[in-house]
Amino acid sequence: MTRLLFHLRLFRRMLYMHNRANVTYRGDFWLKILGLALRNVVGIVIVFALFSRVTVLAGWTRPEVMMLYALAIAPRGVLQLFCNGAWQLRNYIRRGQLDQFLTRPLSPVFQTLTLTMSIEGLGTLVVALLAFGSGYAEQGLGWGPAQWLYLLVAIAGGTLLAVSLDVGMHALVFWSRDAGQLQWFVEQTAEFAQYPLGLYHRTIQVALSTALPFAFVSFYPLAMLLGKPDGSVTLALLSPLVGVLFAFLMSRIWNAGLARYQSTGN
Amino acid sequence: MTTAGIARRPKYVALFSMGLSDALAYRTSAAISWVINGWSVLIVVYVWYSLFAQDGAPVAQFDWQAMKTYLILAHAVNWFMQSDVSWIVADAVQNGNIVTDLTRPADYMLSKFSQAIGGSLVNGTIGTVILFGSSIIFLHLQAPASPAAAGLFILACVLGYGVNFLISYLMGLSTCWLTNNQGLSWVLWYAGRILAGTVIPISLFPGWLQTVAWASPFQATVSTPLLIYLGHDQQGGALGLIGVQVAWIIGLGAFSRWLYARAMRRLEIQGG
Repeated sequence: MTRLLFHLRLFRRMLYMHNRANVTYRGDFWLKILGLALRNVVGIVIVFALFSRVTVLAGWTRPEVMMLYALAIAPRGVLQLFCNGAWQLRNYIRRGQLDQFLTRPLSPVFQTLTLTMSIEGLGTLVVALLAFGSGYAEQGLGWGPAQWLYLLVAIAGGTLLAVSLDVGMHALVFWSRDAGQLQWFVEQTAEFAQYPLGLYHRTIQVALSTALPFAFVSFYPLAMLLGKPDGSVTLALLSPLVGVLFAFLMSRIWNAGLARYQSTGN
Repeated sequence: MTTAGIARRPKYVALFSMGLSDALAYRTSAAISWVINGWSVLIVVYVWYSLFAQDGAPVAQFDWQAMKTYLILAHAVNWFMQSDVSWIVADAVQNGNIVTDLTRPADYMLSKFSQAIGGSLVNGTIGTVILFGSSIIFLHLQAPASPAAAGLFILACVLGYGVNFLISYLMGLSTCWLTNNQGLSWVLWYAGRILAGTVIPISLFPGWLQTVAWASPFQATVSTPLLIYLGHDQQGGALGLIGVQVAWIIGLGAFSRWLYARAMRRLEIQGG
């Protein structure tokens, strides 16, 4: 417990430190936020183009898909903002710098995750917020506290899933330099969750609900909240647990990888 | 290879092979990226497939066949054009390695261009050809509108590569003013993806965005070759579109020369 508090206190200090560094190049800082916002606007342009033709896509309307899109990208935004360091693991291993993590009285996975905190993740979150808000307002929804609370828990679960997969997949570089690219594949696959599950082939639907469980990040929670007939209340309620399950699975990969780590020397 | 062998080759050919062998060092990574790239196109194609399955009516000149062809080819052409030149120039300016380049008896822009082609050949072109070839066979893409369209398509791809190179090169040079050009490159990269018509055809944009897109150099990279391929080049015709590409290359090329001269006067190298 004290150890956890110690890490939390340190996390706050690191957040402050990283953000100081982030704003050093002031112009670049705003451009980066704008850049990541634009990255997500690309997806919104697609949504609008699709719905310029039809009013309903696989049983979902445009405002509903906007909310779905927002939920699908939000976890990535949180990850970018607070713990965007895993991609650097490869360089740290190659240069033998991982050794210094092992000599400190801090969790190595914590040190890896906090190598980078990219304030530009705000760009992602702002787009998510606007997309969600516009979809919510357009439908004139009026959710009660229970629904909002569930939504927050679902987002937390989705974030835990995104962070776990990010670490787990990047940790594959402990085995081979190129295996880390699997992370990119997983990140791309997460984009499937931006659209209603009913759009896809049965095999993809199953994959998104099991091995690459991104349907639990956006589709199942929102389908329940909106009362869509293609959702499932049971799966929606299980959604946050999927994040916990994957945190466990990925930590196994991380630990196995770290156990076979041999320094390149320094 | 002996040094004599290198010395006998024309200098830009040597730089081209340098780019090529740099990229070949990471060939497994490149091969994996071809697969992942193909996967990411699938998502978008799937979404449009469902849309047309629900209602087969064409959208702004595009029926399902044309849309499928557009989406896959746009991705392939965009991929063919990618180069690291923006990052390479920025990195050289930031860590001072640009000095080495400047001591070479070669034009800076042309050296970077030769190097970029070498890199693109491994990272982009091979993957593009695989994606293109397998899509035509397995996904039954539409054939070019005519034999002439096929030839002009290839010409437009080459010119589009030039336009894209110049945009990236300018982004790299901007480091001399911005110190850190990452933000700018992200903005241009993602705005460029939309305005080039990589994600969806420009004719599907709302009116104001179409105007912005047509006025930007980005449409000369991806959209132009594809409109020619599909025979959607009624306004101005294929040759008119190619003329616009050439105009952009001359304009951006002249601007690059001017900016490079100014950049070199500003350049400060720390230490040595």
